[in-house]
Amino acid sequence: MCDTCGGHAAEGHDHPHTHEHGPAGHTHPARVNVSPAQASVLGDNSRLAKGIRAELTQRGILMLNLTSAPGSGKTALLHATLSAEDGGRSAVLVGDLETDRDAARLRGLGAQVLQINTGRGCHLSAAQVSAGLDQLNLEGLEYVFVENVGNMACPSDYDLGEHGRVAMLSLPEGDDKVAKYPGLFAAADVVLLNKIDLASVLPFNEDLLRQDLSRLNTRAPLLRLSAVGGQGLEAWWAWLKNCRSKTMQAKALV
Amino acid sequence: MHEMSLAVSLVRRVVAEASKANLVRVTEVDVQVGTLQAVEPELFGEAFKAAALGTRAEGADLRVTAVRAEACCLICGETYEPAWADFQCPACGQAEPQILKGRDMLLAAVSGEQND
Repeated sequence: MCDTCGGHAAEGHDHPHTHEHGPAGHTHPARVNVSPAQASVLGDNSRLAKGIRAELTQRGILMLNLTSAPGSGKTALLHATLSAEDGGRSAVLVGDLETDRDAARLRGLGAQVLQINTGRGCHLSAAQVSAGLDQLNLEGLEYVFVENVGNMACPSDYDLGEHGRVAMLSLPEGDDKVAKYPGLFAAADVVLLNKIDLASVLPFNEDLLRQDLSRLNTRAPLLRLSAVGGQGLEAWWAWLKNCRSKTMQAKALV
Repeated sequence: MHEMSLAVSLVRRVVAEASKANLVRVTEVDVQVGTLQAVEPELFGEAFKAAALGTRAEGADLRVTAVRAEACCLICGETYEPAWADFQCPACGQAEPQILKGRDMLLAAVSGEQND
């Protein structure tokens, strides 16, 4: 019998060996290679996101993931968007660490609004969005806006099941943000420069911004607007409608 | 800083692989991190240690290998290695790549004490 663990008594355990005997029984050092299909650490999130995207496409709903620093104007943009359009065709999932202040700002505009509190989480995940969508009535919806946690770094790596990603930057943040937070802007389908009505009082080199964008993302158009002042919003609405119809056409071709 | 949430996902995958293979204790975890994945290695190591506490991966060594990014230009078809802050195609100058490699974090292998 093994002196260390007392196990395998019935087998006599008299074979010569060098391995350790732990409390759990006889163990051998081993290395397990993980199959490529199981290897992705964010695989669960990606699979869930794909499922969300497929279901929403099937229902004719376009979902957008809005990313920016805190205070860029994501909620103000949604407020302007829901006020101008028929809010009843839209739903908003809004992520913040704490409070439902953003959701409160957006209620009363006809849209379904759900606040997701992430606690200490610095980004939304597909699981949180999936749980949020379960609480919405998706009948008759055309748009779901997911307002991500205000953060220019962490949300970039998480697919939420969206059809498109909106990266917002506001003028007071400075003209160097695209170069400083490349991940957010490289992943964008549209880049919004908000608070352009402050251009007369704040220094902001828009050429620098465009140069930095040209190295990272030449696919996403840059739209200049003021969510509060109203300038440039028509171009944003046109982009939204175009994005939805292109996404749904692509589905029809599949 | 989403190192912690990545670390929690990694530990979940490690524990799943370990229990499938009857590893009662994990001693080493090999991961491949793409150069476009926004992970700070030192922070990630600390986050992994914390996330592994109380699991069979507690105390395991984390070995991180960098995987070079690879992209295909959607405009001209050139294959190239995009940098973290520069996606421009060296052939046509556009920045519209399809990222083929380098955005993900992959769990390559788990080593440990295997039960008979």
